[in-house]
Amino acid sequence: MAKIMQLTTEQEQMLVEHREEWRKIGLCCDPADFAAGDEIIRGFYRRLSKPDPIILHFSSPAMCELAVNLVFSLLKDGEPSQLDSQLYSQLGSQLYSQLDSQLRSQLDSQLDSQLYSQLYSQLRSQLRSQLDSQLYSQLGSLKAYFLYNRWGAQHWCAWEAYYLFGHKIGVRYEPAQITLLEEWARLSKSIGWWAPWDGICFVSDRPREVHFDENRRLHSDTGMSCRYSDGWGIHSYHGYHVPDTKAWIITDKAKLNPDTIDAEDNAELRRIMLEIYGFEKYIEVRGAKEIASDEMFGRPRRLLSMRVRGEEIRVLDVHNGSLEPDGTRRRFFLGAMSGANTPHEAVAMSYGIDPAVYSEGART
Amino acid sequence: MHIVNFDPNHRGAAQGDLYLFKLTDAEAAKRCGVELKKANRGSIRLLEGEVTGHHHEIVQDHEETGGTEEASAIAAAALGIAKARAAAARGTATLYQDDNLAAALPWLRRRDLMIGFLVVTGGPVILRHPEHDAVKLPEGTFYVGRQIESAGAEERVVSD
Repeated sequence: MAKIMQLTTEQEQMLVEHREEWRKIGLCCDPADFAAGDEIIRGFYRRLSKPDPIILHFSSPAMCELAVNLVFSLLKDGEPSQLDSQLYSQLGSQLYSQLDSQLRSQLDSQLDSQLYSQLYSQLRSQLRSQLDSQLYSQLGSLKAYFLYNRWGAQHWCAWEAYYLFGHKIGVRYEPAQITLLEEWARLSKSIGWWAPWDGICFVSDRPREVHFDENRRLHSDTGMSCRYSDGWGIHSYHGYHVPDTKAWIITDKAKLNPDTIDAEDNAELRRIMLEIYGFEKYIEVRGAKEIASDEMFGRPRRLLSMRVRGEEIRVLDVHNGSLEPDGTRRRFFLGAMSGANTPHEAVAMSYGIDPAVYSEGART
Repeated sequence: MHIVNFDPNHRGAAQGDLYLFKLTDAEAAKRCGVELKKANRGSIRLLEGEVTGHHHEIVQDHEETGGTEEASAIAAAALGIAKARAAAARGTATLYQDDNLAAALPWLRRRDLMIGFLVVTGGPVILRHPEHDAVKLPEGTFYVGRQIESAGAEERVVSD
């Protein structure tokens, strides 16, 4: 087969359709097809020359983690051998490198940005990593058995979509390679996260809800951005993972007022609270007055003064140096240090640098 | 990943709550502190995101990965996708602790905000963060510190 140097118009269209088909698979919220998943998992165990495992199904990764901890604590011999690394080396990495070699020798086109990166950034960088963070933060005294050994299935499907598209437009893989790749793809279409050990495997259902904003950032301003059937999940605000203890910012907005906003230590969470409550409403309620302003990199900076419980407070009103995907900039109110009379002085003093020498050749 | 160049006409650069200030040659010559972190596989974590888990970190400046999406680069490397991931690294960096040097810098008013002194050698390195544009840092010695804000009678370190 001649090397494909550039995708045809028809292939470009196929690529878009293929990517969106896999995006749907990655974001699928239907109940897992556990029977189909079990069959593929047993097949993987056989490929590793392992006997069929006991396969246990649970409603979410959190329930899987609880179950793994409970089961392992009851086992007389303790934790069985994990199969994660064996699975990776024998059925994963070897396959990746073989497929990649075939793909690169037959296709001289970059699928990374149009296919792989788009799926990866939405499914793995965002969804999987926020679910990871959430589960990790809730472990308490539990061990991260499931978290550290799990495979992401639908949330890791970008690589399968990538190599399958090559196959779709004529790239030839060895028959054994395409068979194994299709098994991985079927697994991603069937179940949520799963983790294999010698003799036992824990499998999670898929989530029931996943919500993104128009820029494909995890987001819900009314509830969880990703929720499983047992109620476990995450809250996110335009891509920012809001921890459980602060989920009220999204679910109980009536609690938002200048006092609760000022009491928040974390600058990003305070920014989110202000976005929801309204920067201008905050200024109005606090009776804030502008005492100085300037521009840096064409962006306005203001120093505001307000009285809170009889005490004068100065607040620096600034915008982020980097653009958001929608072209806007995040806006922050930061408490100015005592003695600052201009935005420049307030910024310099916030970094502990003498305002006389402070400079910004770059701000991102 | 969009990369902004460090402006040689200025000494400072800010990436959100992280600030770097380039030392003069005379100031840098006084450095004799202990090594805190050396680039491990090309990266040094300067400041961790407490809630987000998003870090400010130094990575080596690869010739062909600068314009690609970070997620893709990491995943591609993990999956063995052979792109130009093995492009020659240009610079490297080491983070030092040096309280004596800090005390000798008249412009540094708050030594408690100091993370360390970053020494970049052999070419530029990249300061990156998932939610900020990256900054390309030239060779030299940089003060690295974090940001603080007032909260009424108290102070609090700015964190994300």
